[in-house]
Formats: sequence, structure tokens, C-alpha cells
Amino acid sequence: MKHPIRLEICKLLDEHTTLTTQEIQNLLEQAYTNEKQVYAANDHVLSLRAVGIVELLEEWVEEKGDEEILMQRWGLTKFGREKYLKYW
Amino acid sequence: MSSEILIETGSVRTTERAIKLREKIDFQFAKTGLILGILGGVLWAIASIFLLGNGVKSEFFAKPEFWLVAPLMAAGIHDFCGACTSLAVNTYRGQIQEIPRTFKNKAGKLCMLGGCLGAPFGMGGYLMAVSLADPAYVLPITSSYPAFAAVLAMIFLKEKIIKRAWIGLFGCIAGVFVISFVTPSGGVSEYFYWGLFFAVVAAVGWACEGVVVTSGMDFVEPGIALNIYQMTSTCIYWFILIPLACHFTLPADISYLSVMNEFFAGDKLYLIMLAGVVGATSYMCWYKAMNTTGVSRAMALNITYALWGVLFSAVFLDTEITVNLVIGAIMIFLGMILVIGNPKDMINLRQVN
Repeated sequence: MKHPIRLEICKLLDEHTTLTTQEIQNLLEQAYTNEKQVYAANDHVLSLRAVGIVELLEEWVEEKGDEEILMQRWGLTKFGREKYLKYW
Repeated sequence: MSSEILIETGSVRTTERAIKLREKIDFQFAKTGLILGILGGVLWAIASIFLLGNGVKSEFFAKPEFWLVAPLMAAGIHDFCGACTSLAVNTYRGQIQEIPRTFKNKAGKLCMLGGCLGAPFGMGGYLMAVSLADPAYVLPITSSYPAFAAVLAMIFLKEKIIKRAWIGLFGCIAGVFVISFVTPSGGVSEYFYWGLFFAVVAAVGWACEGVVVTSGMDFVEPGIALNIYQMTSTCIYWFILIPLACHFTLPADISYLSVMNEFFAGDKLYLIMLAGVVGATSYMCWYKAMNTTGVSRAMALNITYALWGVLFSAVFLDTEITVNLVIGAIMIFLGMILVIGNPKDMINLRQVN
């Protein structure tokens, strides 16, 4: 049974320890095939951050042509891990 | 990573360039959230003043025997239309499969419980209040729901209320008294104070719903939580509350079916249905605002609906706006600002959390 996508993101962070937003999206695309909401992975992660479930560990800037892309690496907080396991 | 200067701020490894880019993105998000937050408040005021306010003036609402059934049916159709709107948006966003998954999960069950609490007391109380008293008087009182939520969170979740919030709470209560102290000089219905009472019931109902739903919403996308809540409340209204209300309050010679026929044949039903659509849109703006500009700021913008309601009533309708109403509405609004967060933090757009 698939879980709600934000719980799945917590599970992925628990398994991989840290992931970038792009890595999270790539993993979600495999698990939730043909679901448009995986492309909103950044929104999901930022919302989880706002409630203390995940934390920002590292960020840097990469350039793609003229565009600057903010790259962020995330991890699960201790509070987040305890909480997601209750809902998993 | 490029050869930029690495900085360690707390537990985050970052660079100056990344900090600048993140602040730029956060600032743009915050501005978007501001617009959405205000839009959410305006839409709720429009739905209440122009749509619901006129929708409840139909012949159906005027019948004394339908004093309970009418507001409940209005709330039921309002939430049904809201649920359809949310469902359409969630389908467009590719989130439709998230709904059954969330229903099966504990987080979804909390959203359903919120719907069970919010339906009879929240929306039901609200429609009752609007049908008995002018919406311009009801809106400011219902906008104090975060204050009640803070008290419930203190009792049930053992959360602490800081001094600033207590001052805000008392400010809200004082504002409610100020509004109800003087009725419009043009005269009000004999049920005016019952209307204000049900406005308080609605505020408490929404507060209960908020406290219950918030815990589970950490893992549920707000559009999905809203959809689940509205689906649950629709079922509660049409399968439990309305049949019970018909059974206990209607005269013996009026059947449930005849009441339903009369309600759905009403010439102003479309206004209540439209209010459901606009209301759901308002909710979605509010939720998006919370995600982009922060909860405190978004809530503060959302409760401006009380002030917009007073303004729209004064400008477009013939509602008498008393000095007490204006003062009371401002007191409640300012009280809520203190309850929700630190006013200094709210003004600084560069602090999104």
C-alpha cells in the first residue's frame, strides 16, 4: 500500500539519511509513477521543514546556462523521525 | 560544489551565494503568500456578505419550522460544493490518488475527525449565525477562532500560552462584547443575540477542528486535508445531522422528502452553492499562503475577512455599521495579531517561518 507522499518522503530520508530535492523527486517518480504531484517535491519538502520534520543540512548554487539553481540537501530531524513512524 | 567560501550557520553548510539566492526565493514566496493571504480573506468576506448573506434570505429560511433544518441544509450544500471544487483542483494537480491513501492513514483519520467536529459546530453554527444576525456582525466574532484554538491547545495539547497571546485573547473577548453591546439602531431581528451566540459556537467549532486536524496535517498536503474534511462534513450533514434535525424539529405533517424538495427548489440556492465554491477557493489561498509566507502571517491576513466584511457591508449593502461594530472588529483583529505571532516578525518579509 502506498502512503501519502509526504510520509514517503520521510521514509526515503530515513533510509538514505540525506537527500537533495532532486534526488527525492527522482525516487518519488519511481514510486508514484504517472503522478504529477511528484514534481512538487520541493513544496512538500519545504512544508515538512516548516513543521520541523526535516532540516536543511547543506545548500549550494549550480549554474544551468544563465540560470542559477539553488541545490539543497535535507535530512530528517529526530522529532520528524519519531513523528513519521507513528503515522507510517 | 563551486569554490565559494563555505559557511557553517548552525547545522547548515552553505555559501554566501546560496544564502543570497535562498533569501531572494523566500522573499518572492513571501510576497506571493501575502497576496494569496489577503485574497483568501477578501474571498471569504465576499462569500459571507454577498452570497451567504443573500442566500439565507430566501423563503425557506423565513419559515419558523425550518429554524434548524435550513442552516444545516445550507451548510451541507455549501460543503458539498466546496468538496467538488477541491476535488477538481486536486485532480488538476495530479493528487487525486492521494485522497484514498490519506483516508486509510492515521493522518487522514484526524482530518475526518476534524470534519466531524467542524461540521455541526463550525459551519453549522456559522450558517445559523448568518441566518439570525447580519454577516457584518458575525464575521468579526468568528474570526476569533484562533484564540479559542490556543486555549484548546493549552488544555488538550499542553501547549503554553505566552503573555502576549493572553493579552490578545482578552482583547478578542472584549471585542466580542463591544460588538454585541449596541445593536444597529435600525432594529434587528428578535434572534440577533442568538445569531451572535452561534457565531461564538462557530468559532469554538472551527477551533476544535483546527486543533485536531493540525496534528495530522504535517504529513498531508493541505488541499487533500481540505478535501477530506469537506467530504466528511458533507456526509455528516446529509446522513446524520439533517435527518436528525428533520426528525426532532419538523411538525409531523412535513416529511423529510418534502423539505428536501422545497430546499432544492429554492430560487436562492445557487448563491449558497456559489458560496461553497468561493469558500473553498478562499481556503486554498489561505493554505498556500501558509506554505509560502508562514503560518502566523497567513492567519493574520486571513482574519482580515472580518474587516473586509464590515467594509463591504458599509459600501455595498444597507447594513448599518455602528461605531461599536468598527471598534469591536478592530479590537478582535488586533487581539488576533497578538495571539497568532509577534507583530514585528510578521512585518519582516525576510523571515518566512
